[in-house]
Amino acid sequence: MSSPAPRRLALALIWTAALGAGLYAADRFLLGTRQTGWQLAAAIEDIPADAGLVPTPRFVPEHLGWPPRVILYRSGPVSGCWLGLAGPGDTEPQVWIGRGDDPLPDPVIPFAGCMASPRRDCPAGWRTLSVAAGDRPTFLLGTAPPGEMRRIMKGLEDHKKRVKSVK
Amino acid sequence: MALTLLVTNLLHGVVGLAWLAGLRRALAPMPAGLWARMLTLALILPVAVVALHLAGVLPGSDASVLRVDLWAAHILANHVVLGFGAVLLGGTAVAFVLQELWPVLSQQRVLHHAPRLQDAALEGALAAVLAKYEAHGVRLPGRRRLYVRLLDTPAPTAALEGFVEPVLLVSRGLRDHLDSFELEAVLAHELAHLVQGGNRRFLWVWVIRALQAPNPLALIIFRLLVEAREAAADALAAEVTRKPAVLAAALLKLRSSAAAEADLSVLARARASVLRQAELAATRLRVRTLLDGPGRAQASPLATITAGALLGALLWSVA
Repeated sequence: MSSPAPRRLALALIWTAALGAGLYAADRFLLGTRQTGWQLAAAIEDIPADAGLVPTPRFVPEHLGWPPRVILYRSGPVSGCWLGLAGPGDTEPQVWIGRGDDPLPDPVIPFAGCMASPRRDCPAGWRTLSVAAGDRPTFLLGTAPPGEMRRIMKGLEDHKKRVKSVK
Repeated sequence: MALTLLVTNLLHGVVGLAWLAGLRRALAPMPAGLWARMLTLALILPVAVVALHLAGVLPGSDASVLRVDLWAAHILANHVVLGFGAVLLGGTAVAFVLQELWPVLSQQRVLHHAPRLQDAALEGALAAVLAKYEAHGVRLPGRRRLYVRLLDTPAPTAALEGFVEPVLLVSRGLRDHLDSFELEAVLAHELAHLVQGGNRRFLWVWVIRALQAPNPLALIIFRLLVEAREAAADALAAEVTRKPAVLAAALLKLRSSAAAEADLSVLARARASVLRQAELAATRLRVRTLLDGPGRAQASPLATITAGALLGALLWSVA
């Protein structure tokens, strides 16, 4: 490149392209291919690190039980995680705890209005609480009595502190 | 977010350094001026790309060559890597203060405290060097008159000072050891710094380096850049004066006439000894390069633009 010799320019281009390709291959080999969109996990431990912080509550009412019935996560730059809690006799989760930008996972879409500001089209009997944790809010949606919802929320405020410490 | 930007900056440092190393090997021999400019680009472009990240004008992580958020998440999840990284970054930030901030401030103190005198021998040497630059077709930036001053101190030193009105400084301790040809060679070297951007450009580069204080790759690139700037100035001075051996002799005299530090404390003597060893190694390399033939000093603007475009495109696609 000390002169505009085509050979030198070609060498520089080849080296730049080869380095880029090598880095791409190394990244995909070491970290694997990322599945985009919402994924179902069997256990909280299976949620990958790049899904962000998992909003784990410190308190869960006895009638709901733990671990969550439904665990959803999304990896990557638009990461997120939703936990659906249900009791032994419930067919569907009665409480959803989660965070993550749109689009929401399919089971949470009916509750999109509960999280909107102003609140709109929220299914009857569902309450919403939220806590600002990090760069986005963590939502608590549920049919549990207000007192229980507040206790769950209080446990999630500790999660807010954890988010702050990670930031 | 902060961690992602830090990891981005680190990865850009690794990629920039690897790219430079490969290119230098593939395109050898490379003009000293081009190598210095490429190192400058490798220091500046990562900061520019992080700024683009903050402005949100870069492709999403999944489209990138390296998925920075994924690397950041893995680092966060691994406490050993996280701890090692924290120690490495903290140590690099301390090294920045001790190696790059403190010496600059100390040197400024020496330069500002010593009286400055007009000196006929220095002015005669500067006139001769300026004539050689003109004859060689190298244009000095700016139209202001250049001044040269004798620094009344026994410490052997020469420097280009000033951002707006540059002044060449040569200490009495150095001038008394050099003959007239060596003095011209030293002044030609300092003038070469002015041709290659001078203190104003280097201040900007230094600020960009300071922004990346904890990045060990930026530390390496900056150290290489400091050496490359000297090599580029040596090459241009040798090209203009046509006497590389004379500049090599002046460099050796500069190092061998360094003052003893008998009155220093044990710690300060140890530090001075380490610095002297490093300076001797650098001088040895510069002298060897000058005696072997420093090669072409300056690169065409097209080569610099091409290098910048390639590295910019690589970093843009990387993360």
